[in-house]
Amino acid sequence: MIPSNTICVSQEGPANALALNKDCTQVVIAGRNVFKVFSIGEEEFSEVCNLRVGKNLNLNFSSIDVAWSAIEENTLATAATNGAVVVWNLGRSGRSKQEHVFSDHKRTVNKVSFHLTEPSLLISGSQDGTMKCFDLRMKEVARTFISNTESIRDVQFSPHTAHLFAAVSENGTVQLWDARRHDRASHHFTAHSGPVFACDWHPEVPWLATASRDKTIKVWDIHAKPNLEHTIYTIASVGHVKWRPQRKYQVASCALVLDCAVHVWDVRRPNVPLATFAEHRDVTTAIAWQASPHVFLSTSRDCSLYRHKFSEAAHPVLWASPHGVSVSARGHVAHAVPDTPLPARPLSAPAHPRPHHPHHVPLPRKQPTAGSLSGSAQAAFERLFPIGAASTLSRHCPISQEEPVLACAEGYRFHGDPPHLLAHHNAAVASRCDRHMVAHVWNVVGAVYAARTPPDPARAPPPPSEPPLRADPAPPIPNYNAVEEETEEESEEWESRTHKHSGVLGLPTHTIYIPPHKFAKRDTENGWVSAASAHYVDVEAADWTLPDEAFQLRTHLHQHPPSHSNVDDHDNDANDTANSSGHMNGHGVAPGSPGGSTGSSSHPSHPSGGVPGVAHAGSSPTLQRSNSQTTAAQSSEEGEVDSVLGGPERPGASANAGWRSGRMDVAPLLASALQHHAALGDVQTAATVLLALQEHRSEVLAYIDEATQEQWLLGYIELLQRHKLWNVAVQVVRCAWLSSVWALSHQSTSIAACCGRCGRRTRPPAACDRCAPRRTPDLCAVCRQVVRGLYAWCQGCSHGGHLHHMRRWMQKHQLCPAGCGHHCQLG
Amino acid sequence: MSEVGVNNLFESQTIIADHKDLIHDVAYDFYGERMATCSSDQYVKVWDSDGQGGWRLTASWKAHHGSVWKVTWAHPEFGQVLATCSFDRTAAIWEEVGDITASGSEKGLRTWVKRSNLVDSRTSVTDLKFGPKHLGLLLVTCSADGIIRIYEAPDVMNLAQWTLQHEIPTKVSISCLSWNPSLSRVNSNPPMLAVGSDEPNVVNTNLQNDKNCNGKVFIYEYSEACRRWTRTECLSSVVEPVNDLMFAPNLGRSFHILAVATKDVRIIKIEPLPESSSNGNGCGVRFRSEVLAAFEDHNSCVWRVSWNVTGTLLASSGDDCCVRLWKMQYLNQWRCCAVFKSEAGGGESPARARPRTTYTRLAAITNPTHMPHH
Repeated sequence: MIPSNTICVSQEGPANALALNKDCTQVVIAGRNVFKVFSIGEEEFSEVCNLRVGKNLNLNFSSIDVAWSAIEENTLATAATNGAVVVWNLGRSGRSKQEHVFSDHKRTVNKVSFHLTEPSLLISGSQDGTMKCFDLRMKEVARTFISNTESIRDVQFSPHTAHLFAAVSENGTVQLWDARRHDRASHHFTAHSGPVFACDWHPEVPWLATASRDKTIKVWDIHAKPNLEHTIYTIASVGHVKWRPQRKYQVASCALVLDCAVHVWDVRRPNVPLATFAEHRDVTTAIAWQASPHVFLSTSRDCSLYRHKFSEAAHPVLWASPHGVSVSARGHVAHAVPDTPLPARPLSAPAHPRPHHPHHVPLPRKQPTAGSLSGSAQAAFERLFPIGAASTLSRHCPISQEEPVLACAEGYRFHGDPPHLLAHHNAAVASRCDRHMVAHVWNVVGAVYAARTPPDPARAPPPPSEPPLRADPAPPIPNYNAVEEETEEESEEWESRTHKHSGVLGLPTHTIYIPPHKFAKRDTENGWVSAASAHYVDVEAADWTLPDEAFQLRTHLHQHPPSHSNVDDHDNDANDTANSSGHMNGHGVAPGSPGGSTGSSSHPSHPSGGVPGVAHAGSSPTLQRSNSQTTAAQSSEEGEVDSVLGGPERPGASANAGWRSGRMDVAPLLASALQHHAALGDVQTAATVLLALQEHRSEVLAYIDEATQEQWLLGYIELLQRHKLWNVAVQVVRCAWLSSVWALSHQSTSIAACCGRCGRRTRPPAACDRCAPRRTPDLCAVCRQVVRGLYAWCQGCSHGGHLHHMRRWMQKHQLCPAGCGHHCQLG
Repeated sequence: MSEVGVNNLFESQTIIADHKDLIHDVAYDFYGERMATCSSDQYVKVWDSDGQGGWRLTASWKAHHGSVWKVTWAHPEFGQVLATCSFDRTAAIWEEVGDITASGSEKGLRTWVKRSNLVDSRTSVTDLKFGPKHLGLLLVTCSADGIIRIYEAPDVMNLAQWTLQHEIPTKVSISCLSWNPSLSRVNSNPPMLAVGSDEPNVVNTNLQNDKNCNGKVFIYEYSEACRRWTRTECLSSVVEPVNDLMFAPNLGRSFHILAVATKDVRIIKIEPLPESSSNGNGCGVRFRSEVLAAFEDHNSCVWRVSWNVTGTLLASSGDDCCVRLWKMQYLNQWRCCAVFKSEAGGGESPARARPRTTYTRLAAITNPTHMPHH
């Protein structure tokens, strides 16, 4: 939406300043290359005269500032870059209106300003640090005021006290001078921590606003002793500041850099602009109110002169959310609400029926808000704005502290027992937590799988001669289709290789059906299929429990980048000490699967045998195959390799299960039940049932694609982590069969240790390479003996010793026992 | 489903935040044990739970040179990291450093250090969010001029370095955005963003809107193939300016749930359609969206929405200065299950002594069979 304000584009160049005549019907703009007078119409600006005329356009015409006498209709003054102060008389006949040039300043003049009641008095502030008061009748310098600062940026007569004027300078000070006394300032104070660029006297009360590079506008009460009344915080260096007429607390400002907009502030609410005018495309160089609070003019470095109507202001605060609400992982609700809500903003912007000015250029839309309030609404908004600066923050938390979901999470078991026992246990847990629907699900699961106790490998029926057709009732999942089926098959094939203690391969080996031609193809490799089968059968019979070490790794670890293990190879007891580099992947080498555990128990002499050892410990031909792929192979690649093995086995397995139980296949129903729970946000039930049914995964999971399984497990893990149930989360990670899930236990598991002396990375327990040769073993700072075992030290000065010595020392002393003077903190 | 009617008793408590201006955002961390607030007074404050229901202010610092619009926590895996965005056109990354400097009475006060300042925007930065953890340390910001920027910290240990990965121009003013929090790394689930625009509707619509969708909520997806973010969907059901939106945590649902704060609270189900139905070059219809619920209980304008961690409970806040909690109940009906009226929000009402604690019991569904069916 483009506000239909009056705009005028000057082609000659940007204006640095503008000034209005006393009845605000005309405006003069002045810059390095432009100096023009316009009359202000309701709809347009019309050029009255161009003052930049003549044969020799010297630097006197390139203006920094311009002022229009408030008394004399035709008198103008400009401040030139070459230090000249030029007085112009519009009443002169002829083209050149130049009346007189004062060349008294040595350097650029930053500001000229007329006295408000004495028509012949003009004051200037210059880069040379002086102010000069000119008498226009005598055409001479009446007085020179030496500020003792490097440069004066703004100077302005007070409208309240006849001879008082304020001057601001680049060193951050404000000086108040009596124009009759030029020896010293009547007041002198440091106002800002950076250069002060502008000041403006309040039209009604003795307030002075100062604008600075420190991004603040400060309002000083100059009644007696200057006193800081308000500080406004803006987002950029403030270049200009002008009080809004008839509004005691409102002041307009524009920035020197970065921010192109003009902001109007209410000093009582110093952090938020009351109104913003963002029409300019480059920084605004000057602003002037057109004697009313409703209209002001501005010039900008984008070469335009703009007449803004206050009714078309944007109000940023209306677009910022005054509310905050957040729900925590604990179910607490935090709510921030304004104490005095502002009127709602209109939901649609009013149309602007007026035709645009012909000079109108398309403007960038920086704020979506312009002109959004009607006149009365804006008045109400202005009234409410300063008191709307308070919010109430409140918290609403459920009184019942224990969450049933968490109680269930801690009570649930999902491995170590046959599924029906797990299910009954979990059903009991759920009903204890009053979650009867969930308990019901578990009971159903228990009832279904009670009939299918884990198959006894000894009674394995002979392999079917051909892949049985899938006994598959109508799939209840609506979006179940061929595409999905393919992906899940692939996932299973892959997981069946990577994870052996349960699932597909937990079923009798006969279910591994291999089409004859593929079998023949594979047979060239040592007949490994049969070897693998034998191995798995043994494992199933021998070992159903998981090793108890934390952070157990799948044998799949061999795929990890081998760098760590290589590093650790020569460092055999790397995992023994607490402050070792502790590559967890080197530590938890006992694989989480039974196959792996039997393997590792056969190599008990290598508790930290490094990763490659584990891969061999797994001793499955499949793993050796994978291991021979030296890169960190991606699952896709391997899945392809193994698809030959696993591909056809799933239909066989599910059909077989159906055949064994001799009744309807409940897997699709169960799958849809779990999906229903997940859709309701109860990921716990979905994930835990999935975990508990790992051995029957081939049946149930056929109906749930891998992405969904992954989502459930990851979602449940995140839920547990949010509630800091780390142990349960680790159990889930351990029991998971998806690489992306159990890989979580491999991430961020290394601890870096640094040498306390030089700060370099070390590989404990070996001492730092650099420091070791020069260093005796760590001595206790108290007893001067070599410390064996725990070495406690202060992290501030790195002195330490035996833990009990240090403790005893610290009970009595504060300073370091080594005498370094450090206030040690132990523990 | 089994939890309906539980937890309907809430304890309310007012925290003296002592912000000098409006609080624009409240954010809990991953565990719900820390809370950050940001305000127009340019300050950010961090509150820590003491575990017994009390909250203690542990840090307060001037974060920006303008109103701080939003504050958000990174996943704790990346450390104690906050990001803020402001009217001053910047976004900042803050990291907590221990109480090294503390001594004596100031012990326990934490220091937050500005690690990075993102200064690419030319206008007010209206919202920012950290990406899902598995994508790395990503941050997306949006600004009033309608540019979405996605930053990445290539080295998660070095929070001072952020590279601008993508700049997505939207041509409309963007007020809010939300990552799809899907945890899956499978390719069928590309990184997804929803953004909402607060662009006011122009009354005389003779200028544009000829062919473009009139909606205010857009879905952007990252395509690995062309390494770009592209707009794949525009929700035509939302045509009023959007103040806030948030994806529900996707815990294995086959669809996404998006809550939108516009003139009403809206819950939208976005269901990805199978690839086969989109015709080849990706310009086909990717989603089917369905408005599950729209509530006008907040008077004219809803400002914020927030989901709980399982996506079963939605909190919304609007011009009536109430928080309303919405919950899905039988037959997929969303119902209001609690209303918290702010004592302070009465506007003209005289200040009265506020009780420190109030108890609210609302909307207990004693017998599920009594639920009205519509």
